[in-house]
Amino acid sequence: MGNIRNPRAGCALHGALATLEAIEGVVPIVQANAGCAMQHALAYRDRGGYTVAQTVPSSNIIDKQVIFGGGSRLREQIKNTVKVMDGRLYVVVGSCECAMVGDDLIGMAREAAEQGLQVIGSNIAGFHGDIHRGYTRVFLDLIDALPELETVRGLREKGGERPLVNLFGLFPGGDPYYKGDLEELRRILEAIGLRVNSFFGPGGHAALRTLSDAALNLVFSRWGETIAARLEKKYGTPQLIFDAAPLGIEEVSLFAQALVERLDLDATGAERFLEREEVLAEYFLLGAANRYFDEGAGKRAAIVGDSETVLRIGGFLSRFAAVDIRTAIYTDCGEEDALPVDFGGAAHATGDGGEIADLLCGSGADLIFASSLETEVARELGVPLLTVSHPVHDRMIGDRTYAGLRGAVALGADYLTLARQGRRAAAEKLARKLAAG
Amino acid sequence: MSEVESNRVSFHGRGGAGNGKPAAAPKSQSAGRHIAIYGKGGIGKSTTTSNISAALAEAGYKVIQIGCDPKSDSTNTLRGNHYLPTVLDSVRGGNKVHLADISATGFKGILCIESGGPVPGVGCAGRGINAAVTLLQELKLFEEFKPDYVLYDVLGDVVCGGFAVPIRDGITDRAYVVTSSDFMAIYAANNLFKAVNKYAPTGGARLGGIIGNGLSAAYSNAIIDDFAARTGVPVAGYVPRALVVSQSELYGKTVIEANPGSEHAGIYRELARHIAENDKLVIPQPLGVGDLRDWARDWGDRVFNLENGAERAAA
Ligand SMILES: Nc1ncnc2c1ncn2[C@@H]1O[C@H](COP(=O)(O)OP(=O)(O)O)[C@@H](O)[C@H]1O
Ligand SMILES: [Mg+2]
Repeated sequence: MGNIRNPRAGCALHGALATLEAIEGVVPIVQANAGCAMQHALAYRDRGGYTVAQTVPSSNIIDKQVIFGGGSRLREQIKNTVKVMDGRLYVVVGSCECAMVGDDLIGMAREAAEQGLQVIGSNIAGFHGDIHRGYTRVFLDLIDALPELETVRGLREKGGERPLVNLFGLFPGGDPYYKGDLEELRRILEAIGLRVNSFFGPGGHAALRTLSDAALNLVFSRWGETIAARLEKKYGTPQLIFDAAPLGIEEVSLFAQALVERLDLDATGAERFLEREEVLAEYFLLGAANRYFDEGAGKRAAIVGDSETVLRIGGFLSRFAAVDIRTAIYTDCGEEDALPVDFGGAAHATGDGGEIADLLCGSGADLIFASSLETEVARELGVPLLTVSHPVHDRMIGDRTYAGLRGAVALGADYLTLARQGRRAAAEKLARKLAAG
Repeated sequence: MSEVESNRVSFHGRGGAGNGKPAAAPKSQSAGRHIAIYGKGGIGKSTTTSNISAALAEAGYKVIQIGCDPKSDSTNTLRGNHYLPTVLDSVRGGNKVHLADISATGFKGILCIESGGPVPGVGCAGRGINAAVTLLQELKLFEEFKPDYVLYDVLGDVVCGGFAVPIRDGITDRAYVVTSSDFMAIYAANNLFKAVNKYAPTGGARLGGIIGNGLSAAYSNAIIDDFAARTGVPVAGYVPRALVVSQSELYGKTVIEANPGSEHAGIYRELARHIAENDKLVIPQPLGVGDLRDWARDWGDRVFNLENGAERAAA
């Protein structure tokens, strides 16, 4: 994947850091030169709604540690970090240079754990790939290392009344709305009779400790597949893999139905919940139909983002708002990957800002669903933009979700808002033309 | 609008999540016994490893031999000296790597792979070996081939952290070192012991033993025995220097294949049997730099006396 202009994702270390910082109770310790952690902090500052640690403990290694190995510097860093940073689990993460010189982070973490500290290690290096791979790898390392810690061992609390499910594949840096999206999925899953580990958000550390108790692992993007496979191998936990998080009543019904079948849940309870949710959606979107036929119908759009985001949001728009998706750009697919769906238009795989801008210019879209990096090209085209993919800096995200049932209401409302902006922009453009002509 | 398979639900029709490339594969010994063979450059690692592989394959085992040396000649004698593209060559090419392109089936079905490396003087060979092995795991080599034994023929001294990766990250659980009775070879063996000693307590590989190779002088075995005793490491076997080894190599074959009835074929079979069955793995006690030098000087005196004594006796 060539990223010549405006790469939208940092390196694997940044993915690991974004993931770890978003798990409550977890403190990462970076074994790297000062630039790695600094870049991460700068890249995530001012992103609407990410969990960014104020402080990133980093060993800030220099030439000497590269030549002789960074073991003793790291030992010191671990010792000092646990004194000043309040965490329930410390995760040592690596970097390009310490992978090159072979610093044994897992061994160092083990040494600290033997002294009773809650430390585990992840041999991640920036060059392992972009943030997506960082999420996957650090989770795999957590899964492998966690059982070694005393506090985690023997914490099986199997046989709780309601089955537990783990959620994988939605994460900071992949889905900018991950907080709201995961909480919405949790709300739905709890309503149909399940307990949920989403890892991100309150109770994150506890979720890590009970990860092996799950009755089923739910995967919502390709980046969670290896994680679920590892858990299946290690604990025999079965998995259910979705191509995206569900959005809208139809997908959520199908989602619920799949879970009811797999986990033998109370079907009528789930049905009753969904019926009520449908009524609520109609209530919230009262009047939307009229406005849709006035302003929102017959739109052409372009969408840019990770496969999960494009499938979820593009799928919803094309099915429920009959939006004609002319161009779908997948930012987390390699050139060799088979592209998921083209929505009847053109599908492309690229993360390159320049290439994306060119594709958007030629798309003929009335509306653009993309990231904040597309702000400029959208402005040039005079087409309104809704920021649905990473990075988002134009809005504070809060609990905003574009997943599940509430996400459908939110996207429906935002779509109509965008369509009105587009109509106004088009009218202004026309007025300018007439005045000039 | 949707397809429901056994464990996949696609909301968005064709393709769906199934198109994803796996992000990372576990570093696990999914199948077989994984053995690393280290030693100084030119000491006979590849020769010895290939003969062990050949003997194991001859005995009916499924074997993979992976050359972890930028020299990329580890498996030559298993494949009649034919050209085999290395893993890193195909990584450099930039296209998707397929197992079939970077492996060849050699003597008695042995799967031969060469990690390869960067151009000398450029890049990082240690990192290259690590990346090559990771790629093999991602390609599910071990799950698919289901080997009984995997032998890693690893370059020279433990020169930097990268070369210690095969014994450190759980890729192999046992290492052997090939050495002659020459000081530099023993020095390299002692260095490997330092690395094993460092990493074994935190889950790294342990040492299976020393393989004495290319031994010609009468006292060679005694030097190796003494070094082994001082470092607390068993000797797995002794391979004398012999013409049949060089001759077989020139035919592009192992001794096992070219001269199956020779005394050396028997020696390699015995060595292979020992390595296959040995479960007594140790954490070695390497000698300090000063101790190693004193030990060598001491042997220098003894060898001098031995040679002179022998001459005097002959006269
Ligand atoms: N026991 C032996 N007797 C005679 N020649 C040997 C013996 N072992 C190795 N050799 C020769 O020594 C040379 C170097 O051996 P090789 O296995 O390539 O070393 P390495 O792999 O350690 O660099 C080869 O030409 C090989 O034939
Ligand atoms: Mg060799």
